[in-house]
Amino acid sequence: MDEEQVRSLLGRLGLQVPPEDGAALAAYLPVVAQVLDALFAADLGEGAPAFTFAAPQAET
Amino acid sequence: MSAPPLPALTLAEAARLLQGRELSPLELTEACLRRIEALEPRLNSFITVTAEEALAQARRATEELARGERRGPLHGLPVAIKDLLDTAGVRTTAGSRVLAQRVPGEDATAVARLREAGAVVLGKLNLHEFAFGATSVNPHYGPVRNPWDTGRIAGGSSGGSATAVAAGECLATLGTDTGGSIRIPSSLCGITGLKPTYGRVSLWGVIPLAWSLDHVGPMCRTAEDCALVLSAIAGPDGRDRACARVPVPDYAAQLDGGVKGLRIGLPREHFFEGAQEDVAEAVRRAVEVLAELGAQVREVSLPHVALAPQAVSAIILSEGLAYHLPWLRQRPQDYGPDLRLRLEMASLMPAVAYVQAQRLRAAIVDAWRRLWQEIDLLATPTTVVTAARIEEADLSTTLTLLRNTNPFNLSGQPAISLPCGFDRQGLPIGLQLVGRWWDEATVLRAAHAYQRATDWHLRLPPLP
Repeated sequence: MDEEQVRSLLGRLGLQVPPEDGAALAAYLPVVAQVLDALFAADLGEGAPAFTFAAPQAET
Repeated sequence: MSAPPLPALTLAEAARLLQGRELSPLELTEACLRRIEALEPRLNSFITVTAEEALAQARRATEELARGERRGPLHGLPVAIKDLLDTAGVRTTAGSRVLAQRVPGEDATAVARLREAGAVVLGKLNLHEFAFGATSVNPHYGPVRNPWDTGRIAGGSSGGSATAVAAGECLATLGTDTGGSIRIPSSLCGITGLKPTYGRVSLWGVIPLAWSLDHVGPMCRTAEDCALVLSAIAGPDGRDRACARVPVPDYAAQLDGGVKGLRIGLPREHFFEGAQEDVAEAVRRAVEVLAELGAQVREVSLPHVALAPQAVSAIILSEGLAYHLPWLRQRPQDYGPDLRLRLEMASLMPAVAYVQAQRLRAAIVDAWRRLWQEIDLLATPTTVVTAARIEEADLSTTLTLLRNTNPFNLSGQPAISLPCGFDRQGLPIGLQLVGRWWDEATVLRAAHAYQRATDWHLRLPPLP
């Protein structure tokens, strides 16, 4: 994704990206990929935790 | 009565002087305000000084103490508040232009509890913009300057909270800590700062950085002082759904147990990697002191710890953007360029990164729960480096400063930073002690034992 595509993507989120931020944002995408790689590299085991929600419990 | 012995005075000593009527709250408050006036051009610790209100509170406290109506150890003692916590009738800016004119109608719960304890509030302290960084180089209110070398950063995000205590502008402050923002500036400025267990202190009235990682805690000269402040601000609060219904012990009453028999873990990996040689030496020497006092030291491994900074980063960016998106759309020009870019980057972080970070977080808590059956405390350097020069501070400085502290925002465990030496340039070094969930008492007890055996926390920066 190049600088213009990144600016267009953020524009759809309602963000007006100033020209001076464009190059840094385009350069950031590989960093996001590295974060994802790192987070999924961990062997969490067979009992890997779920992303949970707990319903409110009645007051006793 | 003699002049208050600022800046060396601790909160506990001041409480004793007030109780013995050797000093009055008004004298102490006036002395702090004189010191603020003299030092602020050099340090820039404060965004707002509320001198008139403070003097009025101090007069009231002086009268109450004279009538024998003492509320507790904090009654009449001058404190200051990070400008991220709401203060009724006093602007709370979060170090931002976005909120520059915001005046809350109510105090944050932690501030209200300090006032109920009788503390005198001197004002609001400078910080990294919206607490979103660890240098406190603020584009709107100017950089907070380290009292040990004013050309260097104070650390952050609670930079003003650390410098105000280190310089003797007040006796205690409140800070917040989402990735290390109490402990990092405490380490870089040579004071003692405690991040309690997640949920121990209410977050109601605190402008969020990342809801699931934010903590409020005390920043003081000593562990004893942190115990006094934590006892005042901790405890359940129905207005904060993350604040736990867990009993609050009298921390000050449990300080004197020593460390004999305590099992202290020294991490094999991650925490010493990339450390300045003198930082690593000072921390290892501090652990030796604890061993000489009777602690048992053993090496340990913390599973997945090297991934903690990545997980914290994904969570802070995602939760932070959720809070900031409306303002970022409407008034991006009001953000500093550094934070605006960081929030724009956050919008590129996919949801799956946030979800996986939370799953990793749960796995880490499970793994570490097993480890904490073998040890009572973990000892690490608070930061692997000392304070950088202001003009050299950038995003990589922040990431380096955060690497040893943010694993315990992820786990929510209590962690303290206390002074344990100086580097070759005379800059403070911090020892981090981490405890079990809800066991701040053991963390404070070990820190107090160390401070009774050493004098690093009593050294003063080269200020008039």
